[in-house]
Amino acid sequence: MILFDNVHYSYPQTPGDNVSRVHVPRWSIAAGECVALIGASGSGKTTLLQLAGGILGVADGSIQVAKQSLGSMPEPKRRRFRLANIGFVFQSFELLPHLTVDENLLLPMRLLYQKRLSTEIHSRVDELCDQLGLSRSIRKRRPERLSQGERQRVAIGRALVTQPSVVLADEPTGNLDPALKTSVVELLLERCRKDHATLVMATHDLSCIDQFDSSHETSTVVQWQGRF
Amino acid sequence: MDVLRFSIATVTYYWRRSLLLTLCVAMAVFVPLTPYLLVRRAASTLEQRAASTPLMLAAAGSKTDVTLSALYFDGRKHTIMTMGEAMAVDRQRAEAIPLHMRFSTSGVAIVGTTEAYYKHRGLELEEGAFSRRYGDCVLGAAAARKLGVSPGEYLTSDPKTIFNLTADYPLRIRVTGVLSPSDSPDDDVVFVSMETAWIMDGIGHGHFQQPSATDGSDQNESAQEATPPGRSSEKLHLEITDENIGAFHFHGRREDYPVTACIIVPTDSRAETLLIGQYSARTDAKVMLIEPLSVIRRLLASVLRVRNLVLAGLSLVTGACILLVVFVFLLTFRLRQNEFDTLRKIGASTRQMSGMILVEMGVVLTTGATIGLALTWLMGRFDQILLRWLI
Repeated sequence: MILFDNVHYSYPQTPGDNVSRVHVPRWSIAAGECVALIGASGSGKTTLLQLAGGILGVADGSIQVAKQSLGSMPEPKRRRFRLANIGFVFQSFELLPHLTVDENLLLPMRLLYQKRLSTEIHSRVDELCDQLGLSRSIRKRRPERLSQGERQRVAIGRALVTQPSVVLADEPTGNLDPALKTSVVELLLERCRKDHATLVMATHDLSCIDQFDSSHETSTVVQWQGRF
Repeated sequence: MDVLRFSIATVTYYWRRSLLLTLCVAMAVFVPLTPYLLVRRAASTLEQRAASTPLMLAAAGSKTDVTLSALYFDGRKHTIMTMGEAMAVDRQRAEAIPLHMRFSTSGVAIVGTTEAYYKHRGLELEEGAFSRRYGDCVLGAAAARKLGVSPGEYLTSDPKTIFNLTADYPLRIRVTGVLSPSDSPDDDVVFVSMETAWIMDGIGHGHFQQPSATDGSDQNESAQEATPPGRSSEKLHLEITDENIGAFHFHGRREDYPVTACIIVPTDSRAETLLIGQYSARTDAKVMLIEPLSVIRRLLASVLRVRNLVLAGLSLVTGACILLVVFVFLLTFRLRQNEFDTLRKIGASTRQMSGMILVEMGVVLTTGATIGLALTWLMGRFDQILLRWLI
């Protein structure tokens, strides 16, 4: 499902920046597999997720996601592919402050279909909200009026609303207290397994990795070049 | 995606910024547009009034002053001419309508004229009646409102000077009618007959023998009478009534009575040309024949030049304002870079994001422009009031 083959990525050069290039010789994740990507801060977890999601373009090598080669895809097509096939959960939630919970949840659908959404989609969102524990009153609120846990549940909902085949979660529990961490991880795993979606979750929290099908350490995946 | 919906959500969320920018745009539209429209309408109103006054006769002097005074009753002082000059206009060629503008009542101008004036200006009564009796008046609609009087009530002319005790006594005048609104300077004045105006001037008066102190009658002066200094046995009437009107008389020759200006209404264009020729050929230069339209057009040409200059400046300010609004938008988009990054990461296309930005700007600009136009329209609704106040 996700295959990195001899991938090279060069960070944009800024004055005083000593990091120049990362190299991923080979990294593969099977379809429907739930993988924990572990490693210390700055070890390249986010870079790997962003390469897998097509947010960053590769300099060399190939990345295949859902049998599509992201490396050869032009940027507009890559965005469209990401919108339809990949769900992202970010550490800082990244909800749009001017939209209500409902509008945030439906945002990928609206971007994808560019037309009035069907009742089927609305009922799917209702069902998703029920599972995420987002009540009607919460769904009418803007993100600023939500707790951290509620925000992360909305962010998960937004990632899952298009029923993507791949879900990439970049330290989704990083800003949550321990009690919430467990429930968020469980929620992600439950939904992805139910939808047969591939999940890659970057984390440096080792307490939850037992729940995943496998765990990969970034130090074994990524080789840094030109790093001092 | 429903871009408009997204943009409206953004505009309402950042409502303080949106409100300020919308008001900026509204002002940028309203500020140059309103003076442009007002000046245009003022010019048109001034021209209309001048165009309905074919020619004017006045004592030699400033054509602009006498035109503005006789057409708009703006209170400018001008050398007076005599009634004789007005009577000298060939009746075969034109009708002469004299105007006397020297007095006022509670600050409202009193215009002495003849009935021909009402006919010429198309003035009609809304209530009451015209009266030929000395000491009666009809009021313009706005003047009646301002003075708060109606037919049957009285007004008193303002004393012209407190030092001239032998003439210019305040005259109590009776209101007999109120004119229908005409949206012209005629609304703002009080009309009296020429004779009434001359009575105010002290040329005409009515006096009677004061009874002797021994006849036992009341020694107190009534409110309608006054004793001129040096003439202890006689009293002047300060109000004209049906009882005392017979005592009124004029001194001197009618030809010598003062007239401020005279509207000349030629019978046809040939008569007009002949009159212009006749007066331009006169060498004594005591009076001048004026074509009000050309005077007003000359005046307007200067006004319009100034207006264009002001509008050019205002347009530059508007342009700068719009550029500033766009600049503020660009700054806020920079501050909201995280939002756009999120959209990009989710998969929004460049086109979709540009659409959101453009629609958001469009909503603010369109709303601002609409408010600006609405304000301008609102001003336009009250333009006559504004113009009457400005002119």
